Amino acid sequence: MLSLTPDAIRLVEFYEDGDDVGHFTFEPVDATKGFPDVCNPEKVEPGQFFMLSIPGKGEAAFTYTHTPDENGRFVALIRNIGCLTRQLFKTEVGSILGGRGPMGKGWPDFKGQNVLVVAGGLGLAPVAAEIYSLIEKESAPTVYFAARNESMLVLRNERDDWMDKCDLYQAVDDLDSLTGKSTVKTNGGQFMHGRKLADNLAQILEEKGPFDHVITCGPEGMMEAVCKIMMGLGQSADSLWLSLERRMHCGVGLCGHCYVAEDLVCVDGPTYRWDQLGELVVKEKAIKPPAETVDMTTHTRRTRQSA
Amino acid sequence: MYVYELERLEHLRNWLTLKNEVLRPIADESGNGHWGVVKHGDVVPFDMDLRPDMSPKGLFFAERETVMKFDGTLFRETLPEQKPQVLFGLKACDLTAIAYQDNHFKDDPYYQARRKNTLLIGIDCQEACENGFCASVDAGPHVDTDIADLVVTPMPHMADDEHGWWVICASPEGQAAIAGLGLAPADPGWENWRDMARRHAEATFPKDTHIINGIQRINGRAVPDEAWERFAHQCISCSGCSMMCPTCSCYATRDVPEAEGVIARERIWDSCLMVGFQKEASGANPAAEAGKRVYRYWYHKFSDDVAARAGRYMCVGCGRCEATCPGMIGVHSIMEKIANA
Repeated sequence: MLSLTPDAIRLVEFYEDGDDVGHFTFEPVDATKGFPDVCNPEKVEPGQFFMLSIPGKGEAAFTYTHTPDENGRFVALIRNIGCLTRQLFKTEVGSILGGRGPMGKGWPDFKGQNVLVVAGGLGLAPVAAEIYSLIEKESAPTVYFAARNESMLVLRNERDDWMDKCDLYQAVDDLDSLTGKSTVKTNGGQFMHGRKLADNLAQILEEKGPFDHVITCGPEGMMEAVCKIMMGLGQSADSLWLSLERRMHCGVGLCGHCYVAEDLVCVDGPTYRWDQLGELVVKEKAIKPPAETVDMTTHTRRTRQSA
Repeated sequence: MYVYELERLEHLRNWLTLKNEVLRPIADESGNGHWGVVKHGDVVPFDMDLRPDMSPKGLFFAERETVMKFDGTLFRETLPEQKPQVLFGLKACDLTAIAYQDNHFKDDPYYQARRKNTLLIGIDCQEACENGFCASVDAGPHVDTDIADLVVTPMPHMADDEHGWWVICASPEGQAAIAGLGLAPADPGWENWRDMARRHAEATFPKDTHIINGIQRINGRAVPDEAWERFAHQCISCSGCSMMCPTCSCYATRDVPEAEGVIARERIWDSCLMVGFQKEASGANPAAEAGKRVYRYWYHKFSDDVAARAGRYMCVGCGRCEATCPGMIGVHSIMEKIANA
């Protein structure tokens, strides 16, 4: 039987890590009978998520930014944006909250592969655990991280840590926002221009490619752009991976909220391969009339705009 | 499979009340059918044609229930307690939906706590009901003996004449429930009569070309987005279709404060036709357009992709959505529109 009842977890550390973004560390309240699954390092994989309960406010899905360590401690990077997270930001360190998990499919095992990680803003959270895991497997990836502005350069301590362990490219959309206060030692202190995604990816591919796999997370529009640009640069669709966000009430395939066509993101995702997700997205849409009609004078069909 | 002869259904019903709470379709003051308790000794005749407006899904997947409580330190599961109960007189459509829900909620402790103490008594329909098209979606009119504990089917008779019933023991639990009732075994040949009755019943259904066409057009993605937007003008997001639908199983959760700081988490039926169904805290909403939501509902009912996972179409042809939709986009209306879109 499934359980919809959370295990008690304690908020043990909190610090601000970006504009309205918090870096939260949790640990099991009672580990005398072994770790509950949500805190069990043997059970949690990078890319999976858990349901965080804030009693009185409800339950929502968050990704593991750090999978549980040997003490069952794990981290989530959370934006202060809704009713539940507002309450979380007011919660005192030491408070008891609820956790259920792990849920969903994590990233595939990319050990020994040359991997490019492309993350936008808070999209760094679901790939952070994978970056750590690949570094540990001596398959340190190339990381490209872009944010709107300096204040959205999240996971500053993690990026400081990665600096010496993997190739880290960083970009902000608003270069003027840079005050130099960013704690991260960048590649020669240089930030790329985030708006120039295609140029940046081409440059990274030239310097560090070719890549066996690309994993990306960020706003859906950004992920779509990354996949299309990378395919334009010769990357095959079955080597592109991304992680979806959907509203969820159960996390175990029952409540129906996180549908994409016949899939439920909580159990079939949240990680998807680009070509497989593409099939679902096509099914989600009905059809649109052809952008250009058949040219009857020549009896040839002109190229149809892709939807 | 053991089959017995039974003179009156009320006799079997009354027998079952000895050890169980028995629910059967009953009409309220307004004439609407619902599932009501029948007491031991109750002599109200069983009305075969009475169909409850609500499907029986709420008896297992509660419309609103508490799933756990938090006392400040611990989270405790709050499982429902279910005394042995019998649903007496389930039609093939509702039984098909229960079989689907049994699988969907197979690991759900709340559903299973109620379901495992329930005996399902199916009844074969003898003719099409208003709005029903179970025969078109492989869900009736006769009960599949794999999905009930007992099935009752009328013996051949002239219209409105008194007639007996055959009782088919479809499961060991069903067999056990009638042990001691002292029924006579059925004469051989009952199966042929039942089969003939099914073919007679199937012949009473009106034409279903719009349903078959609609299913094909949905799966061929042959209905333009603009058409779905147009149909959606008639959807007022009342969620009536989802509440009435015997296979709809979506739910939302909410936390309710109780006395002394205790927090109860409830789950309540939800509907994909609600604008906020997929809305995230950030405001992002993958199903913001009404047309997308109406498409979603019917895609989920009739998609081959969903059927491949669920083992069958999610629609069982009961026609309740047609009866309840105030916007006139229940299943028959929408399939007619799709066929002409």
